[in-house]
Amino acid sequence: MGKVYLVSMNRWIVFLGLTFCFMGCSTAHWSDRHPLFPVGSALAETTMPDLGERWILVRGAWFAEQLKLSPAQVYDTLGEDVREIFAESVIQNLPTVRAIASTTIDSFAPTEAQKLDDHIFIKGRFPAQGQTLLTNGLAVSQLLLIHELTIGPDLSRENIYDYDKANQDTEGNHHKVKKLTAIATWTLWDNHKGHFLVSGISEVVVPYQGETGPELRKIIHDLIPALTAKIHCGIIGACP
Amino acid sequence: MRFILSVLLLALSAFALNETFVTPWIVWKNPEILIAFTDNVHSPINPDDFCRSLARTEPSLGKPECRLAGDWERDSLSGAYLHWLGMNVDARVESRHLAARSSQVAERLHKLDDRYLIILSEHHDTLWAMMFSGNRSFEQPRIVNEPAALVSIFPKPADAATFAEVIGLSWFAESPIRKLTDHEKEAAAVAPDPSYAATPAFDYWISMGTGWSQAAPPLTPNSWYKSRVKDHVVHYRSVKDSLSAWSFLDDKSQLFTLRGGFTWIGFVGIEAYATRTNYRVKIDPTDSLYRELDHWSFARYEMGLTAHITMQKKLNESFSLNPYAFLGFDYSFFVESIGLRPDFTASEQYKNRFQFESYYRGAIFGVGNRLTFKENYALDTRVGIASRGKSLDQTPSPDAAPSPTIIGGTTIDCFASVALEYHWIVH
Repeated sequence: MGKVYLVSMNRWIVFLGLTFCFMGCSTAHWSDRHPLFPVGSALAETTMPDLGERWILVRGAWFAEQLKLSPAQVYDTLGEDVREIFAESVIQNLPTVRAIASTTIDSFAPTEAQKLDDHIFIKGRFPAQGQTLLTNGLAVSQLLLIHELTIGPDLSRENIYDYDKANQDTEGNHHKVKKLTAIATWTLWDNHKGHFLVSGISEVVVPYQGETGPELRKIIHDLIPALTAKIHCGIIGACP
Repeated sequence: MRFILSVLLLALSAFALNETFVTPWIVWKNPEILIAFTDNVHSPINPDDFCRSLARTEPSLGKPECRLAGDWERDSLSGAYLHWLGMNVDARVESRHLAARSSQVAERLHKLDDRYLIILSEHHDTLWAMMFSGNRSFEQPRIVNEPAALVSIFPKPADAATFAEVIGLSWFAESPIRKLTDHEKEAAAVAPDPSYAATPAFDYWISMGTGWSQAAPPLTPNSWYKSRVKDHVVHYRSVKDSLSAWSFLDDKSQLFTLRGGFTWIGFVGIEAYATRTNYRVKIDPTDSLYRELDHWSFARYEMGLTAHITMQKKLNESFSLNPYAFLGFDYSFFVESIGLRPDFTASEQYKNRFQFESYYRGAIFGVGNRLTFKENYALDTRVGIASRGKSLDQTPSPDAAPSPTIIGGTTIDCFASVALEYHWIVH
């Protein structure tokens, strides 16, 4: 009798497990791969415009308080640090990638939307159709474009980029901060043929333990590995 | 036919035509076709040759007009797009991967209206052909800055005539539709969208119809009513089971009905109806007792009120369907028609024949569908089931003497009817 009970319990566990797996597996796609993206190739001869002003701080007043900065100064002071940490991380994690001025993107086509999933869109500027970006007179084969870097407490990419779950803005919820988040939208661009290779939204989350400065450094620093992992899983074709 | 022809032609000409993607479009009579080339085309086809050959391949097209889309090649933005397309055509891409991103080029594509734009690209020995057209050429709304079709032809056709034959059978073989004139386009641009048409506040109707009524609902076991249907009236009053009227009466009859009702905002409504049916009494003709009888039948009149829920489905400009379900109550009474033969006098049994109750009441429910033509005329078809009986309004006291069964106390029959209706719409 006990055995029968166990067997039926097992079935239930398997059934529930499968159900949750389906629920979990059918979540949104946070990246989109072009069908012509060469499978198995690594980042080769890639250029990356600097971050520049394409970063957003959510709840600046809170950061100002934590970092002992004046609210008026927080964007300027923190901006320098964010750009510096980001550039350092690129040099460390992507040594072959060559950085160019952030103003390069001013020559691109106006801002466009890029669809990743039925209700997930990113916005960014890409070279115009038929336009090849030349650096020192030469066309590199790939561009790594960071469209937007968002930093803030208790953020999640669903609330910002998933149009089904938007309007759940965490700013203004003055509860105790539990985590710090950095979210980047990015595209790996084929500079010769003029189309995207992979586009995605990556996020890095750390639990907040009161050490605002080091934790901020960590999430920005870890974004590049998170993003490269996504590009590589795009190459393999199986993103988690 | 189209498929067989294209297979036949392709087999004969030994061209392999591969469709990467194709969204069907409307084929216009006397089409205007623009042809543009990406910058990797070495031997551009001649539009005049293409048109002549297309008209020969598909005579139903009428007089196609073809010309080079020179403005596309001269304009720097659309020229850049053509250059880009030449680099990006591939059998693995979807239409969204070939979309024009520049808003100016997208606007140019919108302005194609009912014209077709064929863009050709060459890769080694393969010819790629893309089809663009404006919004008017598609039945379903779509993003017109994406190509509607991408096909590859291998080996590359030698001349415009061969290309027109291959592409004509594949792209222009549907029966063509007349293009709208400029005046009709203007009218279509300001015509109200039928999807936004207001639902009338009230829809009233009167109707007249006929149908058939019988005791046995189709597809139900015969045993349910066999004993009643087979029963006979003996000695003018005796039956085996007097609870159902079908023990006395032949249960099948044509019915005539008058109805009137209304629907509120196309959703719920009320209908009143009156129905007449006529039933012969089931007597044993071999019984000598009935020799005096000339005729004996009962007409049943039934009046009722039903509530219905309905929905509207517009089929086209003139016709719409309103399926509905209804539930209500009815009152019915029987009117006897009996007569003796001349030279006979009424027997005792004749004088003491069975009598129905003065009225019965019951419930009715069913489903139907109304085919409405031009809002005012409709053909209504419905099926349903109705009961007639006598319910006990009070609980009988245990001291009361056992009363005889009420004649026709539980009578159920089903019906099917068609009716013609006239509707008044109140907005």
